[in-house]
Amino acid sequence: MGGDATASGGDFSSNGGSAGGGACGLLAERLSDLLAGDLPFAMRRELESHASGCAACSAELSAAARTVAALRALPVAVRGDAVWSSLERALAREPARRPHAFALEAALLGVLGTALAAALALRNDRVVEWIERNVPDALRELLLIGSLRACLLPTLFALFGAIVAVVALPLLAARRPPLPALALAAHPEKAS
Amino acid sequence: MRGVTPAAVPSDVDLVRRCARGDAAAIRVLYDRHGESLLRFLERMLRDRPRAEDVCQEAFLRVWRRAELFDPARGTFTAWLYRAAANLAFNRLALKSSTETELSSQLVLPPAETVNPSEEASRNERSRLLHDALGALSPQDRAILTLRHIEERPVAEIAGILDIPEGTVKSRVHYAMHRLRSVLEPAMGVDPGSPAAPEQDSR
Repeated sequence: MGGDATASGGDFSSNGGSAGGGACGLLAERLSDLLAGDLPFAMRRELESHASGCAACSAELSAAARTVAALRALPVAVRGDAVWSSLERALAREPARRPHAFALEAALLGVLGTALAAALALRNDRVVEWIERNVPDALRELLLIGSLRACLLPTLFALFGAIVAVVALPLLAARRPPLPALALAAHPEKAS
Repeated sequence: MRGVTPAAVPSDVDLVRRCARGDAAAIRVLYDRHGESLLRFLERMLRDRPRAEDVCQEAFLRVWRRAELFDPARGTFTAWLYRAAANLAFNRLALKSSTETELSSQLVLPPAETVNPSEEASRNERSRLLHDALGALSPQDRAILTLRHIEERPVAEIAGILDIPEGTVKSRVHYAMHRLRSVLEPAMGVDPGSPAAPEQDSR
């Protein structure tokens, strides 16, 4: 916690009515930390020991403790499950997460695309043969002229890359795992 | 506990990172851990349950949307969450119409646990006084008091959540405590005997 005070040489001279009320110096200064349980053990003991023999500090400490106790006892009714229900609906309406959240799936698709492209390359003659048989004349000439024929394999790689980037990633990004049921009852309230 | 080893429980930081990767189960776990305490804080601060629920939901949506921006080196997840919620709450209060009624500002007391009618009446009266005194504080002072003395958060964390100096947190706690005591002590039959509140400390 935030208590950083040391325990030695506490100054308990009169506070003169500062923020800590009628308590002596160090206790007035550290009253809030003491009530919040934010002090090292040795300093807490020192302050409590002083308060036990000082009427003003004892009264101040008791009054502050009563106020905090009353504050904590004020009823606050919360409906955490109701908020989760509406939050769950709001999350379902949220746009898809960033594509980089699906880096693993994208990498797998890339590997698959490369494997398919490699398989096609190994059977390149059959691909060309298929094009010669099935593609219309005008397009066939375009595909099979010398330089383009040499570029067939890189073109296939680029095509798979484009498919992954344009079609597969948005489809994967739209996928959303279902939200599990809430179990608020398992967590006791800390206060009030 | 549920028979789970500590190592198996993901930290808040792990869960926020999972949110950034789109893992909706992680935001559910974060809500399960922090949702109700945040809701109690907001209801004490705003004194309006529907508005507190709205702000709580919006704060968690902000966590979901901005999870990749969370930097654990700059503070805990709790401080980040509460800071987002406090900012949203202050914005809502700024937008609030002066004619709007605070639906939950009417104190609803719990069922009596005692059979002594006078003791019950006295306790209810103290609760009403305290409730009214809290209502007279500024939302920021209510937030500070709640974080310090109900949630027992360190001064440094409160300063980070509300973006104010630590000295301001301390002085506002003293001031708010003094205000509450000056209302409560007479009702308890105790002479408050406290000095005047410190000067208002601007942000």
